[in-house]
This record gives sequence, C-alpha cells and structure tokens, in this order.
Amino acid sequence: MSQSLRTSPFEEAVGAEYVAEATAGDAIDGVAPRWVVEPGSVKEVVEVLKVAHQRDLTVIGRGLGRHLTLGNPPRRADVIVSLGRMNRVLAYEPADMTVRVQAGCSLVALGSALHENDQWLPLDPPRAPRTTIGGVLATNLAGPLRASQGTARDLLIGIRTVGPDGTVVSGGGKVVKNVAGYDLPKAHVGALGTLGIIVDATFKVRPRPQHEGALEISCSDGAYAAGLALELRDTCEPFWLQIANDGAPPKPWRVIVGAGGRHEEVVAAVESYRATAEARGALSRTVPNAAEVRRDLADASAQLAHVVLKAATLATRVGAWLDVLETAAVRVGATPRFHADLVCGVIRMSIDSGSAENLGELVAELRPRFEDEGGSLIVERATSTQKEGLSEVGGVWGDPGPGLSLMRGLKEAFDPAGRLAPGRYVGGL
Amino acid sequence: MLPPGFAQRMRGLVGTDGVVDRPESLLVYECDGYTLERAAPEAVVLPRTPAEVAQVIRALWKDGVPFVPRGAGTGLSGGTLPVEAPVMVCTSRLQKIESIDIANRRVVAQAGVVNLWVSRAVKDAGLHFAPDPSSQNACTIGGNVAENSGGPHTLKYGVTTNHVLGLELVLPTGEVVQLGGPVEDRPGYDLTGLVVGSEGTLGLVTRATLRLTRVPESYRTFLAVFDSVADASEAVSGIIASGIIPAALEMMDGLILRAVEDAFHAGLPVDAGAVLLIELDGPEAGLPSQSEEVRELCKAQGAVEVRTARDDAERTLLWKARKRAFGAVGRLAPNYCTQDGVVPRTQVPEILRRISATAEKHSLRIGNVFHAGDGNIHPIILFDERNAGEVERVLAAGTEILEACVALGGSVTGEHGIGVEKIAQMPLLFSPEDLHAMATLRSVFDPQRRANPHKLLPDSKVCVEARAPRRQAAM
Amino acid sequence: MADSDVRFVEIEKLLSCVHCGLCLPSCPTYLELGTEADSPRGRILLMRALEEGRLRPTPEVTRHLDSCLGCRACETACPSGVPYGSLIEAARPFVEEHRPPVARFLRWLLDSVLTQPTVRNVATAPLRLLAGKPWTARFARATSLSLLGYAAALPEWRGVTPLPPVIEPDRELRGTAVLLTGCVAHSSFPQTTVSIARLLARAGVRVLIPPDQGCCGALSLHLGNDTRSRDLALRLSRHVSEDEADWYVTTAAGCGAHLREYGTLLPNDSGAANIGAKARDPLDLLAELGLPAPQRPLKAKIAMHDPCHLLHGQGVKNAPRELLRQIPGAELVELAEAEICCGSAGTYNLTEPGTAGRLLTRKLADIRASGADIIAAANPGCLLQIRSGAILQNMPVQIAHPIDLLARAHGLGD
Ligand SMILES: Cc1cc2nc3c(=O)[nH]c(=O)nc-3n(C[C@H](O)[C@H](O)[C@H](O)COP(=O)(O)OP(=O)(O)OC[C@H]3O[C@@H](n4cnc5c(N)ncnc54)[C@H](O)[C@@H]3O)c2cc1C
Ligand code: SF4
Ligand code: SF4
Repeated sequence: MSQSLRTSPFEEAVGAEYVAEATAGDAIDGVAPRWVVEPGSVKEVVEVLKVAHQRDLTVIGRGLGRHLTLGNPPRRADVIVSLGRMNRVLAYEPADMTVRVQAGCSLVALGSALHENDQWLPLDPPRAPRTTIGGVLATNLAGPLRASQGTARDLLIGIRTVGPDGTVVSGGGKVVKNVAGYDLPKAHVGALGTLGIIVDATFKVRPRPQHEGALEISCSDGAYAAGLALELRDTCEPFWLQIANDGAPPKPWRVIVGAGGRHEEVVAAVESYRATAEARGALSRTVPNAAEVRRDLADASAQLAHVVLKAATLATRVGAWLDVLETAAVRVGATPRFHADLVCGVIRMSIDSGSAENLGELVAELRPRFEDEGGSLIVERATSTQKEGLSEVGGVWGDPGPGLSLMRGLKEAFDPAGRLAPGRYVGGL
Repeated sequence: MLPPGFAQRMRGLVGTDGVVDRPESLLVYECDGYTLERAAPEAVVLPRTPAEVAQVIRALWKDGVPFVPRGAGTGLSGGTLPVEAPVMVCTSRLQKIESIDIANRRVVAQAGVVNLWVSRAVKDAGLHFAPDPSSQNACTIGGNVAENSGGPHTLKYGVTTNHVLGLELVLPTGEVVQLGGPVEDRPGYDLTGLVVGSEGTLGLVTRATLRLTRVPESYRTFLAVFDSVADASEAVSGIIASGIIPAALEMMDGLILRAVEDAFHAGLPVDAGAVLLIELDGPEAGLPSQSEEVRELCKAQGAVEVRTARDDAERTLLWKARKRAFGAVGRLAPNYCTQDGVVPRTQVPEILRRISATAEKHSLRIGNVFHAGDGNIHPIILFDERNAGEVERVLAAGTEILEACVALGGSVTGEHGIGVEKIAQMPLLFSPEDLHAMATLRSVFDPQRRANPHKLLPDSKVCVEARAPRRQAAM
Repeated sequence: MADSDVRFVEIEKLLSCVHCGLCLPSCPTYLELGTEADSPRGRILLMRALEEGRLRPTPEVTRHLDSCLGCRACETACPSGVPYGSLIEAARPFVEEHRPPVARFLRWLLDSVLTQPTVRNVATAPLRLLAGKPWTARFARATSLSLLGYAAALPEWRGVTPLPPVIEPDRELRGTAVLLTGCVAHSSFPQTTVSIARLLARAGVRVLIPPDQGCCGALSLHLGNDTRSRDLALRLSRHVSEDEADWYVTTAAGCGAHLREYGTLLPNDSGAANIGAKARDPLDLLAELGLPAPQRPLKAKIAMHDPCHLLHGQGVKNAPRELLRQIPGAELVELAEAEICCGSAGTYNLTEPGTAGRLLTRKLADIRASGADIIAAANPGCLLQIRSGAILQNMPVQIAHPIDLLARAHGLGD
C-alpha cells in the first residue's frame, strides 16, 4: 500500500486534525521526526503504536517538550507522540491522599487541583510549569524538595503504559501500600520512555506545608559552603538545602536552607540553622519569600546556561568536588555556576561558553573520577553538536555500571525491535 | 532428586557444617511464618560469605537445580516454600554489617543481618533504618528487600524500597551484579527498585546498601479510645484531612484489645470498641500544637478518652502491646490465620463492615489490628482446626475479604507479599497483559526460572500439599 | 502408642508456638550456627514431631535438642508466651531414654559427680591443687587445654568457710532470707556466698543458712535425669523450707531460676510450693531493700554480662546495674550482646564443647570491643566460662560476681 505524503498513516488512529507533519522545532537533538501525533485517549495511543509497530516506525513520547534535551541524540525519530491532550486529572481522592492523572497533565495544573485541599505533589523539577507528569516520570528530574520529599520514584504508586506493539500494561495500583507483583512502575521512572509510553500515573500526595521559611548564609567558597551545609543537615532535617554559586562575578557562594511545616516549627528550625551558622561565624539572613526562592533555585541551573552537567556523589564529597569542577571548568575557559543539593549529593554545574570540544574534554577528564568513586557525571543539557562531541567519551550518560547487561536485557524484552526512543538512553539503548 | 555427590560438593564450598541434608533436620524448613502449606527441601545450604553464595549458586546452575532463598523464615506468604526447587540457600550466616558511614548516612549490610541490628548499630549516632516491620527483631535485610517490607511507621517514612540504594545480586547463573550503590542517581534503569519486592525470584540478594534516617527529635504517642471501629475510622480520616501526617496510625479492635491486655497488662481499656495508637514525631517545636489538634479531632469523632504516653517507658509499653499483638491473639483460640489486604484509606470503615459481615456469615470470630493510616488491614481469623469444616470456612472467609479489598479499589497484599499464598488472587488485580509484562521482567533476570520458581506469578503449578491450616503467626 | 497418649508433654503446649520466628535471633545457638533445627522454633517443631510420632529420637534429632543451652532467651522474646523452658525440660528425659547406653552412662556419671557433695569433693580434688594458680593459667595457655583454663579460672582453694546457721541483720529487720549455698556454686566460689550473706545482713535481712543442704536439682534436670532432680528437690524442700522465711536466695542464677519452678516440679509438696513462691534473686532483693551508700571506690569500667538464668529465667536485668552504679568511681559501659549466652549453661560446656566454645569466642570478642576493665556476671557458671576464656586468650580483663564487687565496695569482702 503506497502512502501519499498528504495523508499520514496515523489519521485513522487519532483523526486528521491531530496529526501534523513535523517541523524543524520538533527535532530532537537535530534528528527530525516525520510526524507529530496527538492522541486524545489511551485507545488512540494504542492505535498509534500499533500503526508504528506495523510500519516499523520509531516513536518518541513528548509532554510539553521541555525536557527533550535530556539523553543522547536518538538514532531515529519517526513519530512524536505528544501527550498534550491527555491532560486530565482522572481521580483525586483528597482523603485517600492519592491522585490518578494523565501523563500530559502539567505539574502546575495538577498542583492547582491539589491546592484546593491544601495538598501537593512535592516534585519541583526545573521548569515545572512546562513539565508534564509523563515528563517528570520519564526523566525523574527533581529539585530542591527532593532533599526531604524524594523523587517521583518515591511518590509513584501506579502506572499505565503502552508498549511498542500497542499493549497496555498497568503496574502497581491505587493504594499507598501495595506489594502485589513486581514493582513495574519503577522500570519506567527515569527511563526516558524507552520501555513504553506512559499514559497515566497514580501518586501519593502530601499535605502542603502551612508555612515555609529559609535562611541564606554567605560563604567564602564551595568547600566551606559544603562543610556548613553538612552541619545544617545535622542540625535539624532540612526541608531543602541548596548550595548556590550563581550570581554575577565575583559569584558569591551561598547556602540556602529551607524549613517547612507549621509556623512554630519553621521558626524554630530557622533559628536552629541560624545558631549553627553563627557558631561558625558565618553571616546569615532570613529569606523573606522562601517558597519563591525555592522555585527559583529549582529553575536556576536550566535557566542559566545551555550546558548543564550533573554530578552525583556522597554528601561528604560535595565540597571537594565543587572545587575540582570549578578548576576544571575554568581551565577549559568556561565560567561555571553551581547548584548543589548536599543531602542527595547532587551537583549541577551550568556553563555558558561550552563549545563541543571543551565540553568533551571536560567530561573526559572529570567523568572517570566520579565513576571511580561510585558516582556519576551526566550531561543534562547540551546542544546537539555538543552531544555529538561526547560520543567518544560515553555520551551524555557515561557508564551505567555493571547492571548494563541486565538493562540491555530489559530493553530487549520490552522493546525487542528497539523502536521506543532508540539510542537516547544509557549504553545506546 | 539431587544429582549424585551434590551434598559433598556443596560441603566443599561452604564447610562440613554448612549443608543440612538429614531428613530430621530438613523437616524444620518445611514452612516459614505461613504454615498453611508445607514441604521440606532436599538440602539446605548455608554459605558464610557473599562470595560463597555465588559459588553455591553457580554450582546449582551447572547442576540444573532450582533453589529457594531463605532469610529468617518469618515471611507470611510462603515465599520460602520449596516448590519444585529442592535446594534452599539460607542467608542466616551472612550476619555482617560491613560498613557504616555515619556522615553520609549509609550502611552496607549482608543479607542475613537482622533488621533491628542495623538500627542498633547506628543508634548512638542518632540514626536508624526506618522500615520497622513488627518482626524487626528477627527478619533479615534480605527478606525485607525481597518482600519490600513495611511496618507501622511507613505512613510517614515509606517502605523498604524508599531506603535501599544498592544491592548485590547473585543471578541464577551465579553471576554477581552490583546494582546502585551508596551514591544516588546512577544513570540507567532502576534495577535496584525492580529487585526490591521481587520475592527472591530474580536472584539472591547478598548485600544491601541502606539509607539511614535520623531518629526523630521528639515523639508524642497517644492512645485514643472509641466506642466503635466506625468512630475510630472517622477519626483516622479526620486526622489525615487536617494535614497532619502522623508517624504511625494503628487501630486495634475490641477483641484484640482484650487479648493484648491479658498478655501485657499495658493498661488498655478492655471494654472499648476500638483504640487508635497515634504517634506524632519530628522536631519538638511542632508537636504541641499538632498534639492538641489530634486530641481535638479524636474527641470530635467521639473518642471517649485520649491518653498521652507520659514517658519513654509508657511509649515503649504501648508499642510493645501493638507490635506483639499477634502473639497475644494466640491466647484467644487454638488457631488463627491472618490476612493482609489494602483498601483506600476512605474505605476502611466499609471494609471493616464487610469483614464483620463475613465473620457472621461463616460463624467465625475475626479481630482487627492494622495500619489504619495506610488502609492496610490485617484481619485475624480465629478458629479451632479440630472443629469439622472450620478450616474451609476460614479459607473461604479469607478469600472473600481479599476480594472485597480488590472491589473497593485496593490490593491483596500491602506488605506480606504474594508468595504461594496469593498467587490465585493475582488475576483479580492484574490483566493477562500486566502479568505477561511481569513474566517478561522475570525472564530478563531468570529465563529458566531457577530462583524461587512458582512464586509471585501465577503459572500452571498447583500447590504442594493440601491446605491444612495450623496456627499461623501474623504481623 | 495410641494417638491420645502423651509421650512427654501435652501437645497443646507445643501448639502454642505459632511458628513466627521472632525468637530466632535471641537464641545463641541459632545465631552461631544459623541452622533452623538449632533454633527455638526448630526445636519446638522437632519436639512436636517427636510427640506426634512423626520423628523418632534419632541421634540427629537428639543432637539438636542437646545443643539447646536451656538459656530461655527465646521465652523472653516470644510474644505468644510459649513455655519453652518447660517444653525442653519435658523432652530431655524422653530423649535420655533413647540415647545409646555409653552416652547415657557418661551423662549419668557427670550428674552423679556434680550433684553429690562427697563424690564431687573426691572427684574434683586434683582440680583444687590447680585452682587459681598463675602457673595453671600459663600452662593452660601453653597447652590450650580448656579444662586447665577452667581450673585456672577457679578461685584459689582456701577451703570452704563455714557460715554460721544464722546471721543477724546489721540494721532494723526487714525480713528473713534462707540462703541456699548451692552445690557447685558454693564449693567453687565460697567467698561469694559469704559476701551475699553479709550484704543481706547490711540491708537488714536476717539470713538463715541451714547446714547440709545438698543440690537443688537443676543440673540433673539439665542432664535429663528428672527422677533424680525431683528427689533432690524434695530433699532440699524437706530440709530448708521454713515458715518464717520471706525469701529464698542463692548466688547461682541457674539454681535461682530452678527454685522458682519448684511448685510445678513437685505439685503435691507444700514445702516446694513455699520455696517456689519465695525464691528471689539476692541482687534484685538488695536493689529493692536498698543498701547504705558504698564507701570504697572502684575506679574501673564495668560491663554487665546478663546470665541467661538471671535475665530470662528470672527477668532480672536492671538490679545489678543499679547496685554497681552506686559504687564510687565505677563507670558502667555497654557490652554488645550482653544478653547472649556465654556457652556455660549448666553443664553445657562439658557436654557440648564445640558450640560452647564458639559462643565463648563470640562473647570474648564483644568483651574486647566493650573496653571494660571488669565484666560482672552474676552466675558462677558464667564466671568460670568467661574467665577461663579470658585466661586462655590472655586478656587483661577481670571477671567478677557483682556480689563480690559490691561486698568489697561496702568494705565487707577481702
Ligand atoms: C510476627 C510477624 C510480624 C510481621 N510484621 C510485618 C510487618 O509489620 N511488615 C511487613 O512487611 N512484614 C511483616 N512480617 C512478614 C515478614 O517478617 C517480612 O516479610 C520479612 O521481611 C521477611 O524476612 P525474612 O528474613 O524472614 O524472610 P524469609 O521469610 O526467609 O523470606 C521471605 C521471602 O524473601 C525471599 N528472600 C529472603 N532472603 C532473600 C535474599 N537474600 N535474596 C533474595 N530473596 C530472599 C525468600 O525466598 C522469600 O520469598 C511479619 C511476620 C511476622 C511473623
Ligand atoms: S533455651 Fe536458649 S538455646 Fe535453647 S532454644 Fe531457647 S534460646 Fe535457644
Ligand atoms: S517460640 Fe514463640 S517466638 Fe518462637 S516461633 Fe514459636 S511462637 Fe514464635
């Protein structure tokens, strides 16, 4: 059967108005897809994937498209399945503190539904307003709140996905505690859509803190900031705790620690942080609009630059690594800015002037040192040319560790023909 | 049948006293905490180190012999029952806590380390391992990982999977893989997360890297007394709706109360319809106002009395009464059997109503002691196996209760796992496609089904011995 | 045997075990061996299988029951109130009957030697020469002979101090105690008996010490000789049961725990019932009655080992700690696994040297890690076992009965 350029194979599946030929803006890391389809229901997603299956087309899921910079350039991208129309909250039971939501629903839309009952889904990836549930799950991106609330992995209790041949698979359930069967939802968290297209998900939600407060402490350098942050962590469990070095030169280092809860709790926590800082002779100031500052910090790294490196290490090593990263970045002529979450051992370095070569050089130098310590260094954001320059040094991900052959097995088992976002994930999966 | 010379070869790997193969000594491995089905293995192997585990499993692979992992055998779903797996590999000698990193809040423990030992080892640093199953002074880290165990404090702190960062897994081939580790965010699929809760069907876990949590600064522990379970359930909803997340929210009904009081003399009100054991924890500053609110909320839902534990001793006594409630139930009837189901929290009153209807229908006594905050119910069915037909009624009642849980949007197990016990209920929860996906996952790790075969996923295999209920422990 | 017949214990008692496994890590032999058949739950299942006739008392079965220390740590841990101690005690005589004749004879011999004062004195005479001598310790180390280690661990032989039949209180009378001088305990550690008598008097207790008491029968029962055990108990109760006594005390925790069972052991004997009801650990009693503040300082780090028969047999844990804490200069430090048996367990170290040795090694490692200068253990068996191990390993730690430490602090000892 010949296919004219005018009618796409997906029209029957989703209706003509929801199939578009891809434009330059739809390219993923320079790889241009042919179609963008927007199914409006699980059934339509199934139909789309069946068609793709029959025609051996590769499929990439997309939410609002804000996080497609994560991952290696795909080997092929025929169809983008945009979940933007599947944006409804399916079931919200405040008293059960659970919510079931379609993958295309944005975090903000969900947030406002939950807000009515003083609840929230405490996930704050960068660009939360333009991030969908599917996106936050596929990338497992998190922000400052991760220090106390965990990531999507910890909040997800059920998931529904569509496999490459159109099979709908559910895992987990809709109750907060459930150990029936394998924990399939975990497979999809952070998997970049390489095992299935996420169509809806069920989360446990939490009460929103009545108050937030924060204290900011200026520091002389990164190592000092990390040392102080460690002490703050041990003072009183922080709601969030960030080390930042992101202003205009001379880029002062700061530690910002957040507290959340009842008014008196917040006051007491902030006071105890202040006491810890003062004991070290550090200057501190109360941050007036803590929640806003927290949101800004979540966005900061992504907003600052086109290149973001994310390093993972242990809390006690954060200080030393900040030093190493800074020196290395300066050496290749970049001006680095940092945001680090000490509790989780995550450092984000944003660099503005990264060329393809110096990014490769930087990664080549630093990555093995992190990996030797059991940590990792990934390139969270970069231009497609820069990513190409990384192919020699392990791509954006680096070495996924000794689990790679099992990961490959998993991919082959769930996507035998390799048609879901091929090449974007670790080890070329 | 084991291949010839098997025991001898195994002894060469694990030492002469590391293999149990005399029938008398094997008999004691015929069941774990789930005693309704029984079958003894043909041999039990007790490796002393993770490296020996790998050697043993490699040898089993070569011999083509399937195996069952076993920790302390406190499991309540028959996960350690040998079903076409003649060899049991037991982790009871893997007792070492290998490293403790206080500053980074990490511990690496071998699989046979008892849950409570971890917390004990880091107590002086003000830390603990948060998952605290009621069996915590006996169950092993390996078993916790396999079952993704929970406990009374999971409402606020989550279950095992939220506190496990890395695993060393011996695949059925004997190959050893390190998954995750002390540093978070290793790129790649969350294999650690998939192995947690896999009930030993993906391989044998030899080591786990655990996250430690700070021991809360302060506690407030309350005992709220109600005339009926309905009132108590309403209070649970009220507390949750108020935005307070208690560290624990446990319910005991009248039947259980009386048994517990008989056993522990904790000063529980024996004529009450139900009590809630409520615990708030966290920084001291937030507790007075939350406590006040909790007390008011309970009173508003008809609490006859709200007692506050005055000191640590009283708190300990209340918890002891709760955690050992099941043991105490042994005093009420010669036999009992426990179910583990989950319903959405709002359905707790409804499921309790259905449970009592079920009890009436089958002329059985059923008590309830459970994690009300999570909607995780544990009905305890009392019976006497010597009464004709009673066992059948017990089994029927258990099934009805689980079906009711599913009908109300819940699950057939919140923490005890599927094992062999609940395989038949899996299709109630999952479609054939879902189950197929699970089987696919399994085949990635264990294509030949050598690790703990015929567990967790329904297959054609029917169970060993006819169901013959005896006394059974519970959570 | 017809099904309704009871072989050695009513099946109901065995049925009270719900197979939950919560007792496993409290059991020293399970901890050390990791085998289910050497755990409380496993042994209960074996006993049940024996009782039901599912199993015969083969050497393999007997081996697992023999390896039980009788420490009753499992009873403390069990939420279902399984009376493990009485189960194993009921099983022992049954097992004994089925033992091969030679093994039975050896155990009978041991029982006879230990429980009959005259025989014991003759049999242990050579030990006395070796007892407590520094050269014995050196010799023991050189030869690694554990028996020599035990000899070196005994206090130097100075003869048994005869105690008067009555010791009047130093203070206003608080009550009357009968002091049982035990068989092995008193002859091995006579000083401790003197110490407790004086301490009790200081606390206001009138102490009665009936002469020629004989053995309480605990060891015989442990060796499976229930007839002899009952005879000894009967003899003792005839001999020492006193209406005016408020308490019966002994420095051996093993005997103390056994005395509490007298009522059940001899259900028809009012004297035995009297003793059973009034048996009391002397440290527990002292802690309750209170002592004047001790004057003599003892600058040392002291760690408590909890003898099984004190902790699990009698539920005493805090009393000795409270008392020792009052000694000026004394610092109490934690001993990891303080509640785990040292391997002594009555005659266990003699009948099951392998497992006993492993448990001792474990205990010594914990002691080393504790950094204590003195280990206090309120039971002669534990004292001997731990001390002999410390001697063999040349550890610079002192092992003492808390009663002796207290007596010294009160200026009553030597
Ligand atoms: C009185 C009582 C109270 C309980 N309370 C709770 C509770 O509050 N919450 C709760 O969640 N559970 C509870 N349980 C259930 C049980 O204690 C837990 O499931 C526990 O985690 C099992 O640990 P275990 O070491 O005894 O494992 P086992 O019973 O020996 O094994 C359980 C399963 O894990 C597998 N397994 C064991 N070790 C490994 C390993 N190293 N690698 C791979 N697989 C392995 C086995 O094959 C089996 O399938 C309770 C049980 C009892 C008896
Ligand atoms: S008495 Fe001691 S050794 Fe015997 S089963 Fe109980 S805990 Fe184990
Ligand atoms: S003895 Fe007690 S603790 Fe041990 S398994 Fe039996 S019921 Fe459980």
